Amino acid sequence: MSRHRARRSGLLRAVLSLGLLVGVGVSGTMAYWTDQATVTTGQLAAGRLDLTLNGQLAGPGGSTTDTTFAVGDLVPGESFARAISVGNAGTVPLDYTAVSHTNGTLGPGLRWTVVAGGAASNAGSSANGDRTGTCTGGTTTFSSASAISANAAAPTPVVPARRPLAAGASETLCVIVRLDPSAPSSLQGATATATFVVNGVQRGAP
Amino acid sequence: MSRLRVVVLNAGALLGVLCVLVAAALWVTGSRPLVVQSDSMAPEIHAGDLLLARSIPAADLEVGDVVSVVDGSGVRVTHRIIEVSESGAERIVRLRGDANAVADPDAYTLSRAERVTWVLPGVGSAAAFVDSTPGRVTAIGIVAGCWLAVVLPRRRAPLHARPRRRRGIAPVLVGAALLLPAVLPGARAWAIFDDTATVATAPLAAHRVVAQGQPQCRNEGGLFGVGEYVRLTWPHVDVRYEYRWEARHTATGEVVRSGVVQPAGGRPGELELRSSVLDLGLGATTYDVVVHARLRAAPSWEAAGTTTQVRTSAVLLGLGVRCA
Repeated sequence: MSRHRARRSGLLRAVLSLGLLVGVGVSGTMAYWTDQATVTTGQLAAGRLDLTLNGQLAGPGGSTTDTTFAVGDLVPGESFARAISVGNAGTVPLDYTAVSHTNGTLGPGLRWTVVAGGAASNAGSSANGDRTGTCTGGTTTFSSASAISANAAAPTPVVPARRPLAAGASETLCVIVRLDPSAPSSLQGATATATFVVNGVQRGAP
Repeated sequence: MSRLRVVVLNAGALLGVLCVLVAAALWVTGSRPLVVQSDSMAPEIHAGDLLLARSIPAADLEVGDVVSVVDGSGVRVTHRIIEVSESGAERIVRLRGDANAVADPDAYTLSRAERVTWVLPGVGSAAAFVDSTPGRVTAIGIVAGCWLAVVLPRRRAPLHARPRRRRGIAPVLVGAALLLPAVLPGARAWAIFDDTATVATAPLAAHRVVAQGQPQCRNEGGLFGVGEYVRLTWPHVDVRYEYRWEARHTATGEVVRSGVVQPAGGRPGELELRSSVLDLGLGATTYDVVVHARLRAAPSWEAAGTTTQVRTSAVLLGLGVRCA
């Protein structure tokens, strides 16, 4: 290649390289224009958000049955407490909320209390008909003199305000279920189950 | 030195052409590039991907479109439309990430929307780099390097050097086309990432009140038929129970007396019926004594009743009650 041609080729390429400035300018403009949230350079958070219940359901979604959350032979006024452990098994901090609904004819006679961070304890005996469940400590997130929803499509929020969970952390949800003292006689022998759906969102999500 | 010069010039030309081509393509098509931050739209879109979105009127939106919107707090969300409703020329949409189990909490009212038309996998990281300060420094450095390479005098080639291959601009342009996705300007998109877990209880069951066994009836007391009474006895098998009884005139069904029996623990249920308790009747009158077990804590919770018949009889010196 002659020196002249080489020089022209080099000059041409140098001119073309100016396109980088256009690119940089465009990038800067568009970033300013479209986005108000600043993000750390080079970090694309492909983190993992993973909510677990009672140590189970690692990975996205999932449902489980808590076989120890069971009580039979309830007479009106008796109650039962059980703690559900909500865990963050992912790599990013999350905030969680929870909703619940019942299924079965006993549902309308049940009254619920949810205490986040509470410890569950039970006293009394079924023989005496004086069982009482208690949650100690924690913050009451739900307590109502009415039944919760019996409709899975429109459940009742039992942890309505987001509660934080750092990565690797867990919190107990102490749940008390009580058979209303004025439950009607038609509920004799009735049964029900309750379903709790816990939703975790990435911290800082709107 | 000349090898470095060639590398710098080729890189600069290549990248520069790239940037111009991409910027032109974006400008012509009206697309906006978005860098994806999270996996909430998996499996189609992952963190690190680059999305190209076009601004369209909200009236053209359909359920299933993936749109990028900015919410009230200024954060950009890119999710799929699951619901659209009209509000004049505007549209109210509800969004949900494909990998999320629940929809986004807020609905968005839009007159225009950025609809995602292309997904470029993995390109986002390069775009984010270019958009960053080190990326800009690198870009400016390359441009400066190219001009230095042109301005600085070249070393004279030695007479007996190897013949140099001809280099032209063509391979650079081909390289630019091949590396098209490598460097792109971009803005950032944020997609909410969530996980849902469900736990159900085992069955919760209420008690059913069990009827007591049929009472045993015994004739007690009295002397020559005077002052006779009956005692009904039944097993008290549940400390939670008490027993409601009523005595009905068999012929009419009219309730003449009633009461509640609360046995002490370990004791059987007992009911004594004397003529002073029952109404006076003429001659032998039959009564049905019905006993129901029920919960002390909730008296409306009763079991079916047992019926025992007793009879009053007029005897010489007063009425007595005897088992029927």
